[in-house]
Parts: sequence; structure tokens; C-alpha cells
Amino acid sequence: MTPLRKLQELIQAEFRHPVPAHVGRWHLVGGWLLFLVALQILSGILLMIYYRPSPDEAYESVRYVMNDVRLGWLVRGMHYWGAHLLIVVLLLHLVRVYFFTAYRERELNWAIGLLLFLGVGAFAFTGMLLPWDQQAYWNADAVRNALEHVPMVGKIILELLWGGHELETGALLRFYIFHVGLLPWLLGMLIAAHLYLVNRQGLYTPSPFQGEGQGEGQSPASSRTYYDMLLEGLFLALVTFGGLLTLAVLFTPTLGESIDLLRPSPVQVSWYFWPVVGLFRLVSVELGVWLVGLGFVGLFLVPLLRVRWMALGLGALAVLGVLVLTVLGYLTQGGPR
Amino acid sequence: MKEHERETISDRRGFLGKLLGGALGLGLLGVLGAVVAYILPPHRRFVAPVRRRQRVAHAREIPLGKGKQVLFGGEPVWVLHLREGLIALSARCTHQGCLVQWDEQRGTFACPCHGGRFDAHGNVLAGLPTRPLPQLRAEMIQDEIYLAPREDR
Repeated sequence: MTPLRKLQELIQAEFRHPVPAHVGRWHLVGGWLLFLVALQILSGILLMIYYRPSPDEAYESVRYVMNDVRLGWLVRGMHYWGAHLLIVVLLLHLVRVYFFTAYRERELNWAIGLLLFLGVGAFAFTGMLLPWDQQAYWNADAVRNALEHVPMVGKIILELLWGGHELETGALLRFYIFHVGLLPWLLGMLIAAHLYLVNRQGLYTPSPFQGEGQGEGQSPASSRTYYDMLLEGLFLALVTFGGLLTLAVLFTPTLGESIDLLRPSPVQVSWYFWPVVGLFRLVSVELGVWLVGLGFVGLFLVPLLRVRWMALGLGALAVLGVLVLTVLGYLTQGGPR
Repeated sequence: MKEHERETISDRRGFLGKLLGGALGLGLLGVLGAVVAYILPPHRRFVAPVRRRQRVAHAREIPLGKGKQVLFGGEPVWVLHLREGLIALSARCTHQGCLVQWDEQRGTFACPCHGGRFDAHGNVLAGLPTRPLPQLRAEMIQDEIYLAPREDR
């Protein structure tokens, strides 16, 4: 028997148990997220080899990666599109868990998941400034101006993240350190806790299945085994990798113009920040920040909603609201600063 | 199902499995090769941009008694042409980084954000700033105005 065959049999034996009937393809989304996180870490480490986090060198170093480093454009493209896909899949995962009411009796893990969501948002935000081009600079400048209007919290964030009011001096280095030094550890620990709790508490069993299985709160077994699920996950990972490669080749992210401090650019952010831009166009910045904060507090409190239809209704309303704000943000993002 | 049919299916599965494994292995090798190619230093070494002396304007653009805002290394800078010579000062207020404006009538810089004022040499006259505007070296060479960082002196 070849070692490969031996390994295959070992894995098969380990994963031979049948999965519960209610566990479908949707449950692959969590693993899909893990794969994307791993891909981001690997491509990020590769980018770190050539990136220089100083205002004098950052832009040139990214240009160097794009033009001189072998396959540098591809690695940057994978990191760029990987980030976009990660957020899409994360939103899918959040919506899936919410609408399956899978947060029930898993309040702590739901909260950890939300912290992970915020963490990924922080990754996207800190990563946005790193190319240090005209758009990145003025986007960050707009956020800085918005934060200055937020009482108490705004000043603290400015001091922590920007290191003061000036964007030029310490901010780039701080954003970089948060992006590659602090957030990965934080996220890694949260992911470990999230997985530990999933493993400890088991997958949520929806009420129609409860009590039908062999044990209390278990659903009946399906014909699929965990090994089948593993193979499906591997296939998904392969397709994802191929898809990201294709995107990176066909739509290679470009580097904007170098920073011109005398010519502010209108805000042009990635699609995942459009709802925030839309909200800021609708209400004042101060109110907008508080509303976003309250929205997240509301999400943390979701497990307290015991009535299923109420949770689903509120969820549908929230999704609709976010979609409307996204469209509004998209239509108005090039507007006055 | 007859024995030889079962064997044929088993052979086919084995062959497809090997084909798939081989393709995956080749793909993995390709990725590894790409990573190694990326890590190996490229032919052209990275050269950090050096902030050297830089031409920013022609002398006729800044006549005697006038000032002009120019860019030096991406940073906004005021260049004044006074009786004592050329003076170059950062256009960023030392209070919160707003861009100061040259008031020709009064011969001072005014910050539009919080009312800070500086004299023509960047010293604080009034308002919230506590530090003077950082100076740069300005010189005229054959009717061209050049700026250089002060540490070049």
C-alpha cells in the first residue's frame, strides 16, 4: 500500500461518520472562509517581502512589486481579490447563521463571530491605505475628518490609529502594524475560539429535526459522511483558487497616481464600505457613526430574540436597509467630500 | 454485476484517481514554483526615491514681494520672494495640519482652520500653534528656483 493510499484510508476512517440530515452545502461556508483567510495570510506574507511602510517608499515599493518582481502583480491581484471574496463569503456566513437561527444556545460564539466580522472590516480598512496612492490617501483623509466629528471615541481612534492628526508621519506605519502585526494575532485567536466552540457545542440542529436522531437534540443521519464533506470542501477550495487566479489575471488591480496633496480626490471606496458612505450621505457623520455602533450592539443582542419570525423579519428588514444604503453609497460616493 | 465488469470499474476509478492526484500534484508544484520565482530578488533592485534638490518654479513665477505654493516631494510648500531672499516654508499648520495661506497685505501666514498666524519666517504670531512652520532650503540657480531639505545643509 502506498503512503498516499494509507493517508487516504486514515482520513476516510477518521471522517467516516455520517453527517446529520440538516447539514447541507451551506455548512461548507465556514470552511471556505478558513481557506480564504489562509490564502490572505500567505499572499500577505509574500507582499511583506517587498513592501516598505514609509511615506517616502510605500508607493514606489508597490509599483516595484507590480512592475519588477516576478509574478508580483499576480500575488497582489490574489491578495486584492481574495480580500473581496473573503468579505462576500463572510457576509454569506453571517446571513446563513442568522437566517438559520443557528446562533441559538451559541450566544458566545455568535458574539465571537461578530468580533471576527469587525476584525475583517478593520483589515480591509487598514489595508486600504497601504498602497499610499492618491485615492488611498484621500479616502483615509475623509475618514480622519469624519472621525474628528465623533465625540470621545473619534479622538481615541485618531490617536490610536493615526497617531495624531497628521496622516503623513506615523499613520502609514501604524496602519501597517495593525494590518500585519496586531490584527492577524487577534483574528487568529478569535478564529481558534470560534472553532473550539463549534467543536464543543456541535452544529445547531433546527427544531424540525430535533429529537429524531439517536441522541437528545440530534437530527437523523444522512447518507453523506464527513469525508464526503471534506472532498466537497477541497473541491470548493480548488475552484476558489482557480477563480481568484483568473480574476487576478483578467482584472489585475492597478496602482493609482502618487499622492498630490494640493488636489484632493473624491471618496471612492470598495463596495463593502458603500453602505457606510450611503448612511453618511443620509444623516450627519456623528449620527451615522452612532447608528453603525448601535447596529452592531443590536447584532450582539440578536440571540435574545426568542421569537423566530420576529428575528427573521428584523433580519430581512436589516438586509433590505443595508442594500438600499449600498445603492445610495454607490451613487453618491464620488460626491463632495 | 459480473466479476470482469466490477474489475473494469475499479480500474477506471483507480486511473481517474491517479489522473486527478497527478493533476493536483502538478498544480501544487506550479504554485510552489511561482512562489519561489516571486521570492527570488528581481533583476532591478529597489531604489528608494531620494528627496534631493528639486526645481519647483521659474523666477518670473514668484516676483519680488510675492509668494507661491508649490509641491516638494508631494508636500505643499510656500516659497516667498522677499527683499532678504527666497524663503521656503511648509504650508502645513503645525497645529492640526491645515494648509496655511499667505496674506500678502499683512505679510503673514494665516491658518483657515483655527486662526493660527505665522510671520514670513514661519514663527508663531498668534493662535493655537506652538511650533514654527518647518523651513526648507530655497535657492535660485540661473533663474530657476530649487528646493532642498534643510538637513542637506
